[in-house]
Amino acid sequence: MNQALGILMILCLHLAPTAVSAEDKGKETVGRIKATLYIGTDGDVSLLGGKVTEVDAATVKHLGGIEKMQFKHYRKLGDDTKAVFRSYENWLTPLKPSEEILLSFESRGRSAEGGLRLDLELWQHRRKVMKSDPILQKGRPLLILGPKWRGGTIIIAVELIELTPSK
Amino acid sequence: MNSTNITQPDETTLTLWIDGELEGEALQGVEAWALENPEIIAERDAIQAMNANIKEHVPSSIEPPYPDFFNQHILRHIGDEAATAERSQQKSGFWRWFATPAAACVMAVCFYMGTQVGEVADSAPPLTVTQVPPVYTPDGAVSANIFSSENATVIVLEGLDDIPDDLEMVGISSERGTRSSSGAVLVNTEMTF
Repeated sequence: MNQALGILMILCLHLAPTAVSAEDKGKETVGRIKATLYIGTDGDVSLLGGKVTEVDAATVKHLGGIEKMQFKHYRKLGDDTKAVFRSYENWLTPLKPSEEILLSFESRGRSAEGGLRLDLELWQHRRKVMKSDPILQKGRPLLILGPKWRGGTIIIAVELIELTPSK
Repeated sequence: MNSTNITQPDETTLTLWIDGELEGEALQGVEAWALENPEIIAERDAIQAMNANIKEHVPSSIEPPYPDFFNQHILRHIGDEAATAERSQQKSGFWRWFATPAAACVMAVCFYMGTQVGEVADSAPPLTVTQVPPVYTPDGAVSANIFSSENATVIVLEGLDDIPDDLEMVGISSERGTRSSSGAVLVNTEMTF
């Protein structure tokens, strides 16, 4: 019995370092980002349907203060928050389960100013329509004025929610 | 015409003839010799047919996807490398030439601070540099304008197809529904440069 335990212990000691070294550092989470889809319209809000939700006053004020994004009404269509991996691509699906608007992203490392540099692609109807490499800072979203729908214009807000402290 | 009167062209001349690059008397000479050697005419025809087939199916040059974006990345990395090298060089140069005076100054400042009691001055706010990233649109009909506002970076896309009105566009919010951490598509795209 003691001999068997001894063999088991030796096996564990040999296998443990192998398991640790097999971990993929690329899957480490370096932060989290959120995509929110709004629609801005000067027309009849009822055309947007009953499922759209109200937007809080702070967001309305923020969006309304930006040139090209000034509309009489704003409504929210959906949002999604995803982890940013060290070296793996990930996807935001703010209209889930619809895949009409998708965002793919991948970390390009931290910026000198404490932000997160990303490769970001916008997909509409499974077709890539834009590619950029913005630096996202907390509290400073990237706003994309996108396609039109039911008389309004889609606004895609991409923001950095969390940036994991560097080790 | 007698084949004995016509000398066989050398290999270079023969290659030029096959490629259709011979002219004048040289061409006439090889053509006369080839008439006596039908197998070489068949070989030339086969090679020319093969060349035409290759030209038809293989483009003479292939543009890389997003060449501007690719170049921008390379330039940015070169810039980062150069800046890092310059900083380290400046740092080493500074310490090499001014290590002793700097140490003396630090000692003097420490001595002075130890003898003084005063208020700590407010430090200046950090300078925030707002960079406007490059934007590329694969579809030539779509244009992108980017600008920086007070609290956001804004990209305006024009020329996109309208989303059909009959399409339901409201998603399940991650705040209302289950947390959307699953469904991650893991594609390792680690940079190699």
